[in-house]
Amino acid sequence: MFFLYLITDTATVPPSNFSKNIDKILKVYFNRKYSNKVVINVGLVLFVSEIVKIGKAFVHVGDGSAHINTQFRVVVFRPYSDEIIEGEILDCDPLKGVQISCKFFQDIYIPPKALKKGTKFDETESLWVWHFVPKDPEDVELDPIGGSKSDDDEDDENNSENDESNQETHLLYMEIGRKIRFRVNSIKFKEDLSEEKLIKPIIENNTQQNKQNSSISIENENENEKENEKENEKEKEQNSLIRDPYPKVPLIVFGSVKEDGLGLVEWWADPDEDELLDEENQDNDENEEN
Amino acid sequence: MDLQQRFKQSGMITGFEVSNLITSNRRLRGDKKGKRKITPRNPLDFETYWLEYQLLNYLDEETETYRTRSKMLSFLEKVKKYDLTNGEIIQILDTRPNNLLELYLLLTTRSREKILDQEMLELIDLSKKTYVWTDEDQIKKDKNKKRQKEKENGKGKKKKIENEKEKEKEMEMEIIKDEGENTSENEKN
Repeated sequence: MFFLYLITDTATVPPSNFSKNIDKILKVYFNRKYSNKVVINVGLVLFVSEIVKIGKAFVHVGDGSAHINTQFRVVVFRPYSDEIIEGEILDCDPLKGVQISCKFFQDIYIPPKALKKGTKFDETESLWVWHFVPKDPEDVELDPIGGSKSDDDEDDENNSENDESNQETHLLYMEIGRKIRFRVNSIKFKEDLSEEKLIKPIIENNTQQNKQNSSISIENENENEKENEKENEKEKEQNSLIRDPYPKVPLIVFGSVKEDGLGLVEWWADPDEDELLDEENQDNDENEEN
Repeated sequence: MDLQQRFKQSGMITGFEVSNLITSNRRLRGDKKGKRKITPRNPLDFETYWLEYQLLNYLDEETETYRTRSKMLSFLEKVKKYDLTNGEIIQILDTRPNNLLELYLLLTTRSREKILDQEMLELIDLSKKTYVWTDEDQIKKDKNKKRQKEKENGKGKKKKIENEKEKEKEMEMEIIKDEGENTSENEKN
């Protein structure tokens, strides 16, 4: 998830910062330059960890600041494929799927095809729901159930629905704010999302033709232009949504939740272990107080 | 220079090391120790401070503080017999599995075939030891507290000697006073 990268770059230090503490000045300079920025084919640069080499300072004609060639190490967030990451659910969308945030990075999506078998979008609550049907009685041991107290009301509602149906379907909601575990499928940098360049010029040519074909009077022209614009916008939206519903962001991570053990962390936690963890937390709190 | 020449990969890091780097950077800057959220004086530094705050929240700083370098090194030595890849070891340390299922997800197909269920349970116990609060940690913490108190109260070795010298001087002064009183009484008598 986190990598170290060695970067070579030149820093321009103004004469007001000429002092003995070059390390601090260079760290601050490169933090301002690189932190929270995505470098294509590298990843999201987080912060500078250390400075390795400081080269000679060159001063150019007409410029009083010193140009120093430095080598320094930087922590980069770069998830690789088949890695397992935990995050929180941010949003559910019928086209995009589930959006997840690891608090410092929020462009993680699980497309609808990569969700578990039997997940459907509930429009009343605008959440994705996993309709889980245990196949064999042996599978009941692996039966994932949301064990937190806040889910009690929903479980009661679900149980009332289950009594009516012959098969026991458990409705497991992917609620916003819950912890989720997923596997990384692929990462895409902005250069890979360049398919839209082929679509854009076609739509622009259509708008120009429609403008030329508009009627003579001013009011009619306005009405026709508005209608044509609306039609073109609809076409644009449809085309863009079909090809690429995801936002144009320099780094997108796509994940999947299909395997056993992936999905909300609650679904797979043993109830005995939850009690043990609570006891450990209480003991630790008592030790800290003492 | 090409991108490949300017950016060279140095290796993978655990979340423990990232949180340590953040705390050391803050210490060098002179920021307060306990606070997580710090506002920078210069708005150009906002993104680094914001990232550090979000990273500490995400990495769950409290469990990372229970970890020490010695615990992690002992874990790495004990794990060598299972012949895991670097990515698997780092994922085990980051995600902290509690189950067989959670461990099974992290492993590659090669190690899934090699490692038995009992060995997987041993792996889980080894990983738990790195972040569990033990009695030894409590003893070390109490020792550190005592040392800090002694420094504040001034009961170090040098100050002990100084205190003893002061006490001797006071004793001498009292003796001189007593002798003076005795002589004055004798004179009166």
